[in-house]
Amino acid sequence: MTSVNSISHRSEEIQDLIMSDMVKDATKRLLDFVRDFAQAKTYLQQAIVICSIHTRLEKQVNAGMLEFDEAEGQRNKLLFQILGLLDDIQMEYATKLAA
Amino acid sequence: MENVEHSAKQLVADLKGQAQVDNFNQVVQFAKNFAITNALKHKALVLNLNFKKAPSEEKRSALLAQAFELIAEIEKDHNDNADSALAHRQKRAQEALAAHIQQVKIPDEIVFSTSGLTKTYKNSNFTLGPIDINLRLGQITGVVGENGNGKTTLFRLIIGELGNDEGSIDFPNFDVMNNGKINWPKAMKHIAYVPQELPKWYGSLEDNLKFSAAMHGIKGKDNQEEVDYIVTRLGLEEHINKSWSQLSGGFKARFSLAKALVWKPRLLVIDEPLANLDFKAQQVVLKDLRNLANSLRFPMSIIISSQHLHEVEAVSDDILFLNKGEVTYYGKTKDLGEARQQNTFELDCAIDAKSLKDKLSNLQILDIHHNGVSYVITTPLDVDYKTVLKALMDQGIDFDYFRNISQSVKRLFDKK
Repeated sequence: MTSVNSISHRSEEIQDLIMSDMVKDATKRLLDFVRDFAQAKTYLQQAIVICSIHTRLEKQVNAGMLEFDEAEGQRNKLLFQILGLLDDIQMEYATKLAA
Repeated sequence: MENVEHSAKQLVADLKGQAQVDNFNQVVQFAKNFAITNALKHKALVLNLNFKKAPSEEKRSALLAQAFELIAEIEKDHNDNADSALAHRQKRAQEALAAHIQQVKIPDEIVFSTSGLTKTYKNSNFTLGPIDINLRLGQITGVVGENGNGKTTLFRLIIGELGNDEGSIDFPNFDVMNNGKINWPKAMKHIAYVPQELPKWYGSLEDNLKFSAAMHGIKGKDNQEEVDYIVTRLGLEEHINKSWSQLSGGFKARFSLAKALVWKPRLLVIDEPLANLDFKAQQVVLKDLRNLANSLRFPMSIIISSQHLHEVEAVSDDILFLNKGEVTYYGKTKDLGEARQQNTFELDCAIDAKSLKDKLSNLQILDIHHNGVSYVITTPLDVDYKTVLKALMDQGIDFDYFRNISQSVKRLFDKK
């Protein structure tokens, strides 16, 4: 079970959700992660944008509006953004601790 | 840790032997173990998902080729950077974070408590209580019981809509006591209530959410940000431009929840929130509530009533069971049934009660009755579910449903 208070466990939880193809849940937990651990407000704005784009993408995919490769390309871009955000926030958090 | 060359060789051999999802998971593990550069770990994770979703053999082959390239890249990255300043910095950061875990946690804080709380309706001769409960930050308390057993009355007492006849209410950490009396307007600055009957919203949904946040002091840029956060967090973006009358019952409930959560209350009181939701939406809402209650920065206590016993049990830390206004059980959900004297099972099958009793006569059955939906079978403690299941199979009884409810609150409903 994920420790609520561990930033690395929480980051792994999100990665596990991505691996399990539960990207919607991953984006929601990303918002929780950012809210709990990020200092800079811009991170929350970035996370909100990622979630909204993912919701729109899901809708387009469900409506059959996107070719498989196009959907995959857009999803991959979002996933890299999620993973990058997790790293940035962990680094920011660790830097704050060190200071 | 294993040697990178050996692990890479083994992984490539495994993938060439059988490029299955399990082996692809190992690529992620390999990246976690050996990649120094985070971008390579990310690539492994995304490649893994793409492989799982690949629609054709051709696509999988292309992804496999990418996996081989990635393994080689990770091997090189490890050999080039294992002793680099970046690797040492990452290690130090990880150690600092691990040490820090112990210091960050949700405060073990009681936000609401009652002692001997009692409310009597003289006209109907109904008495709720006495009730002694403690609601803590980060915890969910599920209130269950049949209709008319006092759940809504309890909630209206918690939010000050009704006055109690006996006993006391306390908000130990809200600083709202004034000469021994509760300053309710001050208390309600911390408490959000979502009633069973949802009042109609006038105006745009977004304006309503902004207004709710503003009423609790969230203004300016923060106001928009909190609204954006809660709308996105609850997955309501697609519906934000609709009017109240355009929403289904389920989305009305979810927007009401958003309105309650947008200003980050410390106590959330929700009466039957699952009533208008389909099964999937129920799971989503309960999971959201569980995670939001556990927020590190804005933890809250949630008290929730529902007829969906199994779903509420699954997310509640504590359960309060009301029967005709009296507390039949209050304690940890995981302890339900610990002190029971017997086991209880539900069974749905086509045969009549007498035949069922006859066929299970070897089991020392204490009682079998039909609750209108399924049979409820009660046995001594030493007759467990395996024994009952075996007897059903041995007797050739066809059944559609069998459930051990010995440790579920459902057992309390099915008591004769």
